[in-house]
Amino acid sequence: MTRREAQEILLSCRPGRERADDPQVAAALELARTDPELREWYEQHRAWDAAVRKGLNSIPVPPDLRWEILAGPKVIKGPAHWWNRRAIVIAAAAAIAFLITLAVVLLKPDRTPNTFAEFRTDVIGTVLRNYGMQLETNNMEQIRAFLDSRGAPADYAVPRGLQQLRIAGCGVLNSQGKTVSMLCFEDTDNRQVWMFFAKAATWQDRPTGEPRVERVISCATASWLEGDSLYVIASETSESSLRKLL
Amino acid sequence: MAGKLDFEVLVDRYYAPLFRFALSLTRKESDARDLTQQTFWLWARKGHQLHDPAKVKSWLFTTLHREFLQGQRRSTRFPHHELEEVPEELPNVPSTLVNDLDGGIILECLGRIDPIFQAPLALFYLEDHSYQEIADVLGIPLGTVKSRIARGIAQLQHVVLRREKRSRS
Repeated sequence: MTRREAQEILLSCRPGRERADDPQVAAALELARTDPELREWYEQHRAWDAAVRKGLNSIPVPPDLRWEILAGPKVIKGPAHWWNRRAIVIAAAAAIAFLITLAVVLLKPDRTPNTFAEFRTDVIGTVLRNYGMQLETNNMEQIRAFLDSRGAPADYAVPRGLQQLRIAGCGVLNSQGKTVSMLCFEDTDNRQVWMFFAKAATWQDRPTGEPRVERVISCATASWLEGDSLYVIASETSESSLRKLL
Repeated sequence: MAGKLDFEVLVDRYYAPLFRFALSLTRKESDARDLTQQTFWLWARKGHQLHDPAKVKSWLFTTLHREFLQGQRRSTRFPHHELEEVPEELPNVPSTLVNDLDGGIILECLGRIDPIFQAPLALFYLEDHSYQEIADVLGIPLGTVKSRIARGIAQLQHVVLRREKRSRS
């Protein structure tokens, strides 16, 4: 275990209350005991943790909030026939939304996307924020058939490292007019690893045949081209862990 | 669970941490107040459907977070290229700086890190939520919770250091 790996493990634990029965945590703690540099960092981290915890938990709360909550139904629910007002508000909001949409559609400049970087941020952002598999199964053949039936590209080859993980399901995304197959795997820490597969576009910044490892949002990613097939693998893990999945 | 006495007990127990969690998400006191009130209002209406008293805390935090996300979806789009990368090297935060941290500074800095990390970090530091509770509240797997906490802390430390550097210059 490297110092950086130990730091990563210890960062996700509550200092002083680490689960020593977890072998990885135990190894990281042992390294923190024997490596002077890591020990110093760990002491600083403990002080940091205590200070942030204390700071956040001592943020003052408005003194009248409790009373307002207890008087809640009166304060929040509004008048008796609130649904009449609500219907008017909804109708007005719908009309405004329609006009805005119309204006946006009519006035929008013809914006052709787009770069590979935007595409990659878009698909990763989608699974990070609104994640949902359309098919949950551990059967790769079912996944391939499902994607194919939805018009999504299904002639992918799963990298050898990724084949070691459990497949959990898949979904179909759309980004920049492109249908994207999304396969979801789970690693031994129950961490999700996504593989996005699409047919390549003529982006100037498209990856090459050699996997390009970069960090995007909170994920380590690897991207590469194989013929006209584009692969992006992403997971909320370190770059070195991701490389092992290729 | 939703009787008057229970409701008051529940408010006394959770309104402060819920408000702080809401403030860490919105960073506006008025919005945090509304979210906290809305959460208890929803509890008053729907809390009786929850049969396991052990899950009250998770229910309240989950509901508040969901209400926050619904508001966000109405008002924001996913930003491109505005997110801060997490450098590989972890910073050393000097003890003098750690000693000066207070709730206001932490909230300010929390608001500058990637939104993906904000809620897990706030829950991690507030109220001693377990990892499983954080996973339940945010609807993400346990491993993801740990990753986000680790990366969120690293990003928060960088932001705190940069803030300090700016205030000195």
